[in-house]
Amino acid sequence: MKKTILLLTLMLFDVIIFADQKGEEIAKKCFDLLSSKDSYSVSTMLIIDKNQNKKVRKMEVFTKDSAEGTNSFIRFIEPADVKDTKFLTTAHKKSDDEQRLFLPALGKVRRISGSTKEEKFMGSDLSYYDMEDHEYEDFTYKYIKDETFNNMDCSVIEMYPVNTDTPYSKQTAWINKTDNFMYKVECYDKKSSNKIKTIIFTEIKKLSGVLIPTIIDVNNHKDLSRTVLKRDNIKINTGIKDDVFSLQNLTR
Amino acid sequence: MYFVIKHRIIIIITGILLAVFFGLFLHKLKKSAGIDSLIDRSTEHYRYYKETEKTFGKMETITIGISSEKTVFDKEVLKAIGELSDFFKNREEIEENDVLSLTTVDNMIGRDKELIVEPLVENYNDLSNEDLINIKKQVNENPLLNNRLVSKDEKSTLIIAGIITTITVVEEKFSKIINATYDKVDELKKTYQNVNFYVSGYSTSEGRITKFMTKDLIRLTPIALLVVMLILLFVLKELRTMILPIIVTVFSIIWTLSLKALLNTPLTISEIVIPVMLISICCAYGIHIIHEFFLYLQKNNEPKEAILKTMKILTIPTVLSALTTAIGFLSLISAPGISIRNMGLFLGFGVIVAMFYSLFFIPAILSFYKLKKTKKEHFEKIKNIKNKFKSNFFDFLSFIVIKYKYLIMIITFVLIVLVVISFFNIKYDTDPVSYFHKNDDFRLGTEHINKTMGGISDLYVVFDSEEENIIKDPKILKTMWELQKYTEKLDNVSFTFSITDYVRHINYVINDQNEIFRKIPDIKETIDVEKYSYINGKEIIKYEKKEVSGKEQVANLLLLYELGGGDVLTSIVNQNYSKACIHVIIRDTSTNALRILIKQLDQYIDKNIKLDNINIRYTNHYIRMIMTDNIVKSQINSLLTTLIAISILLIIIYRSFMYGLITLLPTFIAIMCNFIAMWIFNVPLDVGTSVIASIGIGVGIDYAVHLRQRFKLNYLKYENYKIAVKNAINESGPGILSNAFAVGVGFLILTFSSFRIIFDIGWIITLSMFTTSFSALLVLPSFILIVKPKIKK
Repeated sequence: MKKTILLLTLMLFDVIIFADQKGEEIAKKCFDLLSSKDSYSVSTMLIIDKNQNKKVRKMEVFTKDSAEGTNSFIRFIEPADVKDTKFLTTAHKKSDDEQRLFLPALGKVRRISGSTKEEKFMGSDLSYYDMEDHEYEDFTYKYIKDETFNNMDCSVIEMYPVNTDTPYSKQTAWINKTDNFMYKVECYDKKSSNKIKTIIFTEIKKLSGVLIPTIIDVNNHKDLSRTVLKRDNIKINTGIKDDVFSLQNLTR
Repeated sequence: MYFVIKHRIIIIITGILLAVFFGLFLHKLKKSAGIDSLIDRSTEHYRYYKETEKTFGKMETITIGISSEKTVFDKEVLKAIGELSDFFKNREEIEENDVLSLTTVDNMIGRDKELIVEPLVENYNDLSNEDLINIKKQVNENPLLNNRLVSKDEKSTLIIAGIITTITVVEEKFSKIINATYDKVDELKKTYQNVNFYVSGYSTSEGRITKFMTKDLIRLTPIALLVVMLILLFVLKELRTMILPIIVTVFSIIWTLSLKALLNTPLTISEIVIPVMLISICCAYGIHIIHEFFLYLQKNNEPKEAILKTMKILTIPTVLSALTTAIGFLSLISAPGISIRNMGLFLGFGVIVAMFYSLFFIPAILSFYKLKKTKKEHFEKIKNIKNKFKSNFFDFLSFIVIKYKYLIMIITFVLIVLVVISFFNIKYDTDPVSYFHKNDDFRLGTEHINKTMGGISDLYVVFDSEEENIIKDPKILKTMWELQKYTEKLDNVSFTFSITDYVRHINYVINDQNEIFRKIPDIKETIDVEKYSYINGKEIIKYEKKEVSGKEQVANLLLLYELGGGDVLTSIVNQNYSKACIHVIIRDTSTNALRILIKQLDQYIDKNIKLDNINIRYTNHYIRMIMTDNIVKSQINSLLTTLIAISILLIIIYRSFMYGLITLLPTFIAIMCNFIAMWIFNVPLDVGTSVIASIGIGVGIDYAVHLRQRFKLNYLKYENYKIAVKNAINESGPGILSNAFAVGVGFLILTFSSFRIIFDIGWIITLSMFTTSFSALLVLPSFILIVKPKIKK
């Protein structure tokens, strides 16, 4: 009898190990996808609150990889009353990223600190954490099942964060078996373990071999709000100059 | 009735089975203490209340007052606050971002061209004396915290936790979090003995009401049954039959509460009186039938014969009595709130059920009854003693009526005048805090918070427009700010807060905490624009003068706040800045205080504020005032409905307008005497007491009907008013008084309730039974003797 139990346990253990390995393999392919060195886009963020009130934010977004991480420069186009407000993020590996904001109607540059990873990025349903670049090593993985999503044959894996300072207890990802791109992510709350967010990459474009999401649809199940981020005029690897990401450019 | 005797076994079995069947649904009965059940949901005020709730979030919270003898800037106090705040943050019923306390709040400071949004208290478990001084300094410098989250004397503070909007008061989760809060606070009280905790907030009051409702139901129903049993034993002198009216009442309660469960309408605060009321009122039908049945048995009738004769006499009075009572209850369906409406509807239903059981079930069982010989002699003996006492007392009553009929009329007239005076002097109030007894923990806690921390009542003054971004206009913001300044000077207002406080504070912070900038930008502002450049790798800043619009500056300030990590504006402004809310925190929970405040605000707004495209509207706490006003209207409505319906019923039955009116009038006046009592004892007209008049008339009219019936029979026999009145008092008096006594004592049970408002219903209806029975025995006969109406055969 004891032997049978031992055998069953081993089999079960084996299955789990196998599942983890499979999960890791799927995730690895996804993280190894080619990415751009720099990018430019005109992004429109449509934020719809639970009462169906809509807010639109349109901005030019420049990004560029550096040794410290990805720097970004954002210039607001809409709404009109904050037009030409500029937002500069300078990445640091060993410390928090540096964020500076130039407010044209106040004529001042101010560094902002204190915003945590859970906080909403520009009042949208995406958090600062969602906007960050993540590495393969940031998670452990578990293969769950195969499933069709939007007519795509996908592998479903669960991603558990290695660090404890993340806002989610886990994320479930749908990864297309053909192009290895992550098309859907469900995020689970660290406190209640309830599903709080679903992020769907509705439209993807291939530019110079790089897969770029052009429409991102975020449903916030907790706040009952929704954000749709649309990226137009995308250009990648155009050799954006470093001084775009400078204080001088911020007040120009 | 032959039908009943013929199918008696089927009737008995069906009666029991139906009650058992309904009983199966009892456990599904839900309880609710939400304000929604008390408000007329069809009004514009309610629609707006719900709309604002959607825009600015849930309005009701759990509020904990924390105080210390010395200061709240103390390691132990902050640790207690931190622990309790973490408790709330980790509960699934609480919105994590909706826990406001000294240990959860972020503070915004400006330093060296940097905007820092950071927790006011970093780690409450490890605070140094230096940290405490720093926290105190930051609170004092931040007008969003000082005198709001921390009291002026620094001895009190608050923890405010919002329950997730999707959890409604009828759900188990709601009671669970309220109970857990009390448990946690009890636990903390033991650990932190120098810290005082006061649990309050409208959510807590709702949760506590729900809890007490269950307690009341479990406690009051058996007491009422026991008391009525004792009265029945006293009246019927027999255990076997005594149980019958009790069974009928219990069955009618089961039917009524199960119907509520089946229709999925939760039991609300005013409805906890349903079982006790049904017990008190419905037992009477059975008593009359059994009493009359005994009389026939004593006259050597067989049980079947006795019950047939009994029912021949009593069917019509029982139906009439039940119908008038049911009308009294049903008239409450004109009330504005669903709570009172349902109470009337279901009580009416219960009475009708009891009537049917009394007319079919009791006779079916009594037909099996056999009277023992010894019992018969026992009855005779008691009857003789009782009769002697009764005839002396009622002879005296009829003597008074005949001799002093005019004096009785004068006294009645004086009472009418007093009723009118009292009606205009009575307090109309809906103060959920006063639902509780004076020594109740919640009431004490709320009173403490009202005294030290500004209060739990939040009036919303909404600047409402369809135009996007209009709220960012400095003109609007300055108007709001002026209104806030005016409001804060008024009595009972502790403080106000709105988007203006944030704009002023962010402006101050971004301008390196320079007090000059603690203001709302002007329509046009001249600024120095920073221009960065690098010369030889060195950062150089030059300044350029520029004129900008104040509205854009406000937009910039708010964007800075949002991007800087601030996220609490949802309760004060909507997403597209077309609506903003001024929260006016009032230290008095009564609607009377609010009425005065609204009047002053109306005057100020009329005189000083002229804005295009913006309406200024009140809501939230304001809805309680509207509710109170509606209660007064509904009191008059339901009284009129009762009067008209009962008049029509009596006129049809008596086929005489005069008789209908003469029978009704004394009861009406007697009921109106409630208002004198309420005036003298300072009992406000609220959701509880507003139902008394309608119920009182429905129950009390029976006495007048009985007397009038006996008077008619006697008049037809003797054709003399005086003899007919004297005999009518003698014959109907004992029945009227014993019934009034039984019902009155039954209602008195309600004084054991955990709620002050139910306590008031209890004693006032008991008083009504006294006044209506005596008015039937004194005022009605005097009326008849003076008016001398014609009697039709």
